[in-house]
Amino acid sequence: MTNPLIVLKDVCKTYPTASGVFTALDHINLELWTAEFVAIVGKSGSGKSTLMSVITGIDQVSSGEIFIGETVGEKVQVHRLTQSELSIWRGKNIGIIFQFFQLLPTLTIIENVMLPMDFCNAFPTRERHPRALALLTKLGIAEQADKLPSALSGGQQQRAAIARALANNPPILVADEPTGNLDSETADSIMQLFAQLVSEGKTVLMVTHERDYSHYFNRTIRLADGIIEPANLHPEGTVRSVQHA
Amino acid sequence: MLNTRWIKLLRDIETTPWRIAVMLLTIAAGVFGFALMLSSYALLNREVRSNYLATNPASATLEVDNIDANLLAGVRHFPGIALAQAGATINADIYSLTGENYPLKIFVIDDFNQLQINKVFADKGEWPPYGGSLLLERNSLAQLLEQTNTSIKIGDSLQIRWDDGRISSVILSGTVHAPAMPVPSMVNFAYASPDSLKYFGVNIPLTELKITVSNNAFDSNAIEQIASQLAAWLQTQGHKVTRIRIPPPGEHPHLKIMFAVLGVFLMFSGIALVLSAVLTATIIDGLMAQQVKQIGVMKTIGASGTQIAGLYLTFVFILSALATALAMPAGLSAGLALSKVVLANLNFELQSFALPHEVYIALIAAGVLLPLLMTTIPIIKATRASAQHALNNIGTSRQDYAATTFFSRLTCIDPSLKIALRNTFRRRGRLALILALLASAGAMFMSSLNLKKASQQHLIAAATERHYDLEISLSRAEDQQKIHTIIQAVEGVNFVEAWSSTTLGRHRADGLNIEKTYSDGGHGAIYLTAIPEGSSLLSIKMQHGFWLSDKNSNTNKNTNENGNNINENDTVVLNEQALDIFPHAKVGDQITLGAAGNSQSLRIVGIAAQKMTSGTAYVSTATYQKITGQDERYKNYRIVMKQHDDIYIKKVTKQIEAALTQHQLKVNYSLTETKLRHEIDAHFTLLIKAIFYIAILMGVVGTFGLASVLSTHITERTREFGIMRSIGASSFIIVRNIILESLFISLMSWMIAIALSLPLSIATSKFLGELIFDEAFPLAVSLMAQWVWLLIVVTGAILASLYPAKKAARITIRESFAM
Repeated sequence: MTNPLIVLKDVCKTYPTASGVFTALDHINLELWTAEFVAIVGKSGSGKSTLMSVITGIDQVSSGEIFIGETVGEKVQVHRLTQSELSIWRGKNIGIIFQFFQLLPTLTIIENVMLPMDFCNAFPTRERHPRALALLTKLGIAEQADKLPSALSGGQQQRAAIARALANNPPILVADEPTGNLDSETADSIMQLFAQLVSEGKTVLMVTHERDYSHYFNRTIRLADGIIEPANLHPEGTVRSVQHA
Repeated sequence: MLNTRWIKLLRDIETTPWRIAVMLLTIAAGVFGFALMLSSYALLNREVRSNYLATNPASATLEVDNIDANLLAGVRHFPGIALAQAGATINADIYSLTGENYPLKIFVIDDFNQLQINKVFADKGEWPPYGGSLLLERNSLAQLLEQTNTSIKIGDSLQIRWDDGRISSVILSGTVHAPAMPVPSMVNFAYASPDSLKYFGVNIPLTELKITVSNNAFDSNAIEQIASQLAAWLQTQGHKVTRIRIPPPGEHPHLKIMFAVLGVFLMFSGIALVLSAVLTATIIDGLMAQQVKQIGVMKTIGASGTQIAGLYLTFVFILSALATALAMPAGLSAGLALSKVVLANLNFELQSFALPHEVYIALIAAGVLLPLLMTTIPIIKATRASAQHALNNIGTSRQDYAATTFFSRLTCIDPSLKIALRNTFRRRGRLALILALLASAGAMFMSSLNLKKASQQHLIAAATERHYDLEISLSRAEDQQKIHTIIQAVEGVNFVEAWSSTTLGRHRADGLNIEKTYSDGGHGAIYLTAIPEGSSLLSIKMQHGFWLSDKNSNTNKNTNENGNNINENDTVVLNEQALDIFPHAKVGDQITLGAAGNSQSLRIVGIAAQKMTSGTAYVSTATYQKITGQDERYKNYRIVMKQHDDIYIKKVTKQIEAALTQHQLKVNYSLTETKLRHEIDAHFTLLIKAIFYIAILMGVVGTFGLASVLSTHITERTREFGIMRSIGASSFIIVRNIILESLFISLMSWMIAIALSLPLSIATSKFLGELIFDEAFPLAVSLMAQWVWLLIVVTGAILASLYPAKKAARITIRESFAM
């Protein structure tokens, strides 16, 4: 049996506020496996986005440990990395997809996809353009490659954002409500795309409000007040197969 | 092919061309000003010294009764003497066809071909002047052409009126360049040989013995030692040495003032350069504020803070290098042009354009590294933030500042305005930058006008010490009764008083008097002045002791330690400037004054705080006569007129000059109060104007900065505008708030500028006052300057806020929430 890809041990995240300390994550223990498609659900303020942020290293834990990597040699103690180390590690290992796409508005679609390769020096310079074009082709928006993001529809922009997230071929994709800003048809096609990526071996972690997509996920983690609800701790924890729509 | 990150940077630049242009222009303007002043400073420093030294200025000039060839040969063999030369100076007038007379000082040179000290150089026409001719200094010819509005040219005859009243027609055989002589303002300079003068029956003995020393040529003490030994030897040879002048060795008379003024310019241009870098930092800060979220996104896709900072720092480096490359040659050319103008005003010529390497290094360092250094702060600050912080940035800080609480308590303003005013303080670093920029400009503006007011007040105060309208100096001493009669007969003259004055030296124990006067006979001189008994034409504020004619004080205090009365004829009042040659003198001390070859021991009864005048020792007429041997004939007359306005004074002055000329009396100069004030004021005009323009330029830069800051605030607070719109705020409210925020910043800068202007005004008034007039100007505050600057910053604030306000008013609710 392989090791879990992502391990969270006793992770807490608190914020100081005017009315006292707010606990966003309260002693979270979690294991995620390679090629899992995991949904993180919960009400607004339940801590789901914070959980995503600490896993990606965008935010730092207040206490606890986060390990990412399947083997001992690959394993990284995310909670111990500096901001600079985190950026480089994240660029190579995690692809992040935002609700509002967050494509850089002054770069064309293909340039947006090439940018992570440039920052992480992941591929030789001459290979970056063909690779970016291949990713865009895979996501069905190659003809939009030389357009600015503002010229694209929401669905196309999200596909471009996924292509960018895949630029450095990371094993993990983290998506924060990627369908929240899309119509249902487009959202569905995006979900299918994620399912395809999972079938190709990517681990996808998605924050979502949508209940209709539960059939796509291997596992659903439900958060409430910073705590994983017990009923959801191990529901289909051992299920590895992915359901395709 | 460029890497994608550079493409992103270039595209970002393309979206804000005006900001980039302002940054480029700002850095370029700062570098231009600094290059101009630094290159001028470096060029003039070298050229003034080398030009002056090229004339081989005399180490000392001894006034001897008569110098013949044998004596000169003896002097040349005297130990420690390198060169010796004999000469003389006579005063005459040039008459124009219109009847005007122009004072002329003729330097008599025994052998033009052997001229080795205080050299003059052939310019145009003959060299040396042939019999019956003279050479004019080239600037004097230019001045005469202007004054007489004629076309005098080489070969023409000039009508010269000699000291004895005779008029001769003298040929102008050529012009010379005399670099050691200042550009003439009242007196023209000419050069002639003794033989040439004999042609007109003018027999003048050579009385000026100019020497240079062979060792320690730049050591005043060493020069004084040789000069005193030479004087002692001359006395043993039966000659009388009446005066020894030792000017500061190797130093042009204007050098100190010129470099102090250039130093002030350099300092202000340096401040302007720093502030241009501050503005660049402010604009970059704004640019970074727009990029915060994108920086967060880039960090999530693998960019490190160092990579992103590297992008922007490289951009600033390229921008500042480009600005420096554009502005440096222009600044250096302007510096060269300014140097030429200054050198021309000093009667010098630029001998070499070459600048020291250090100037280029300093300019490149200042132009490239300074903006880079300043912008490092906002760039590092923006790129060091965590991805989380950057992604969640909504442009406002969560911190609660005192200002927030303060504005919350104000009940008289509406809530939306409170938000705007609070937001002013939320980016305190940025606020500090823009306040520094605007307040510095305001402080400089106010200081320039404060300095102007201080100098004018000082001039007025100085004028109140002088209770006369005109001072006339005749070419030679005349019977005062005769002159009184002539002048008093002129309609409009109320009162005439005869005054006497001569240069004063430090008296040595061996009986010699050493003066610090330069070869032009004016600069550096300290005077001995006789106060006519009961004169009311001069009233000086006493700093210590009492005035010569203070009878009450005499009765009560003018006693020595034993309580015995002191004879008024044995007393002297020194003004503060005269303490230059009596550095430790105080009331009650006994000092020995040396003038006209004689000396007298006198008791100091007072130290006067006199404004804008040369160092002077005031004595009674009897004491003056005792020291100088002068009889009842006087050269100088001070005149009070019946009316005191400029037009009247000018009219009566002309009538007085005409009356004196009618009686064959030659006026050396006539100085009205207006002319005196103009001459003194001219020292400041250029300086004040320069500071004024730098301040205005900085004000413009500050306005751009303010516009940039406001644009940044608007970008950061887009969401806030959306919220305001969603709860009913109209475009008017948004525009009003932006304009009021801008006005609020400008008003704060105005108040800080007033506070900053006070120490700056004190420092500049002290520095320049002491430098030019040996006395610090007291602080003068120009309220007009404060109000004018308020008007400027308020106008600037409104202009700066118009575009950002318009931009803010156009933000839709949808756009604001899409951020």
